[in-house]
Amino acid sequence: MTLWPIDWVIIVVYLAGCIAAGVWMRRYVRGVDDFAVAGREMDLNLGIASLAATEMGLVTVMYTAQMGFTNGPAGATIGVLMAAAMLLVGMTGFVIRPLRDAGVITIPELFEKRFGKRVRWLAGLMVILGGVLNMGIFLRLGGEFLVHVTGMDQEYLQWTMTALLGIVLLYTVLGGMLSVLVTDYIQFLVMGLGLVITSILVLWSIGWTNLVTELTDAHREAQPFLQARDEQAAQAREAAEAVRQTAGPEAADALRETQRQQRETFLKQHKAELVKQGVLVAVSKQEVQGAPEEKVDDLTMAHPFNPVSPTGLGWMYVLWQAMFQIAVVTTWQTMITRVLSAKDSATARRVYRRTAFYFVGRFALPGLWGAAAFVYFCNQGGLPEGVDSLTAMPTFLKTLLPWGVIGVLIAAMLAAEMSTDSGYLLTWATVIYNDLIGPCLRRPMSARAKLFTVRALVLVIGIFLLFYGLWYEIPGNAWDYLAVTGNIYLASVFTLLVGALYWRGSNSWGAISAIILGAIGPITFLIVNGIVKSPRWNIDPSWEIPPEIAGFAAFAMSFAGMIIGSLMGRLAKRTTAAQESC
Amino acid sequence: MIEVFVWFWTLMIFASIAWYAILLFYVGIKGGFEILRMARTLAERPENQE
Repeated sequence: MTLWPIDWVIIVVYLAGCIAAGVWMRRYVRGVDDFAVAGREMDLNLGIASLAATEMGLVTVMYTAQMGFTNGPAGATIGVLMAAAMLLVGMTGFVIRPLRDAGVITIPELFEKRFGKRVRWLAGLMVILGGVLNMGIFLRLGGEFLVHVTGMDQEYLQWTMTALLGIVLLYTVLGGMLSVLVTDYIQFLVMGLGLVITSILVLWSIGWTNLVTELTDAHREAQPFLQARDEQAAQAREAAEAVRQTAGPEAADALRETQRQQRETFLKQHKAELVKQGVLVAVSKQEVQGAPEEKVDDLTMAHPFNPVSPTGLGWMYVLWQAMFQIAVVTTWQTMITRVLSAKDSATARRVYRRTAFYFVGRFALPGLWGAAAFVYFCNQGGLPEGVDSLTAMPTFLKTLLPWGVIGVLIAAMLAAEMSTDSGYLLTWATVIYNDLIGPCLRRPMSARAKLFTVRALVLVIGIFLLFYGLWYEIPGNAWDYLAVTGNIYLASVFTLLVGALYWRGSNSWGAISAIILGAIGPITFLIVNGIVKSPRWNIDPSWEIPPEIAGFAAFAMSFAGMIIGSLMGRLAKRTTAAQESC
Repeated sequence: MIEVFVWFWTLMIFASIAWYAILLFYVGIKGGFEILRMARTLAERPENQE
């Protein structure tokens, strides 16, 4: 462990403050409205703090830093697009104004008003599948940060994250949204302090001009290596295909395995020379079917400043993200909960406008740390054993930050994790109660029973996450499944929201068609990419469907489903009416 | 052309640091008062109101 007593004091004071504030708010909870949407008493600045804290999780810090490590500052393009989407929605009130004015607790509740109970239930199920399963990765990724930044033994990861979730569950179960708002406020302050201090120290140590020069050089120098690698991969594929046709699939599999081993040995042996060409070799251990397996990867810098460059993120990806972020800010239930907790729709819009630029920093600052880590390890002669693109940033920060500051950073990252967990736990519990259990009840529950049910659901989701996301090893392909469920949720719920709020002609036929067709796109993507990636078929990787194409397809199909389904529904209604009148 | 992107990201990163520092104080002070006001409003509700 690299923590000093002062670091421990900072962390313990922060945790004690959160528990005390969270438990204190319990006294104001009288019903489900207080518990789920804070009695709709949330004002502007508290809304800004809560929204910013919830959407900036430790998992966000980890993957945005990884984007910085692989794409430099241009990796923060998604943050710029998200900020633009927030500003646009905040200025126009698109979706959020009518949604808040409808006075609902959750998005699916609105669907019942337009499309009936069945659609509400189905949409609720989509929201839960996309939301809860995606949340499963939060604890483990958050734990990885703590392990690498503190030098903590890997075996303590699960126990540390279990204790952290225990604290979150304690105040969320007791005080619901009221506790979440107050703890989010504390977490916003601690997180902001940690982000500002760490970013200044990173810039101080590497130097911005130096960072720009070194990233540009690393990108340029790696191009011949990448070209040669692609050519070799194409030749290897051709050789494997020839063997498959002459000696069968088993021989081709064996050849591919030999080619992989040769490549990995080459990378490990030439690690030091490759660094001079802007290539970092990552050697890490991975669990494959219960056994640890060594994984060797080459990491290069994409275009660090131009996101639309062919060697960067690319035009298609940027366009897709522009659309995707509009869907996220109007559809993602944890963001919408802040809209629904606001005093009125004008407050909700102001929260969006004023939080918008925060989302640039959400990507740009951890991205800066990731880019600085890339430069740092290039200058150090390579990545240490067991460090990859994801864990490079915390490993770098461990070497950079002095005592006291590392305590603030850890408290800040714990704050990021806790605020996200509490907000998400509460949101999904409210959706399960409000949209899955509620519509199935014959008699409405008493106020006390309602409150007890939501509290019990928060606890159950917390326990489920512990085992699913932390103690149980998720199989590798489960991550593809998570991406698919997230895509189905966003595509179908966004279409339903736009249809419900802005198209008078939409109906339940269109809503159900939108959900079904919105699911077909991502599932097709999963199947096709599974076949392309399988070594058995030896298919050219260029046939793989990029995520942006799969995403566009999901939205296009969902909208087509809404339009065609609604028109068919109207036609069916007219035909029935005509038959009845005859 | 690349110069433009470099300037853009320079602006974004430095503005983010400044914006986070400003929000820290501004939202810190105003949000604290809003919590007190919210707690007072919630406490002043009649006993039977949910």
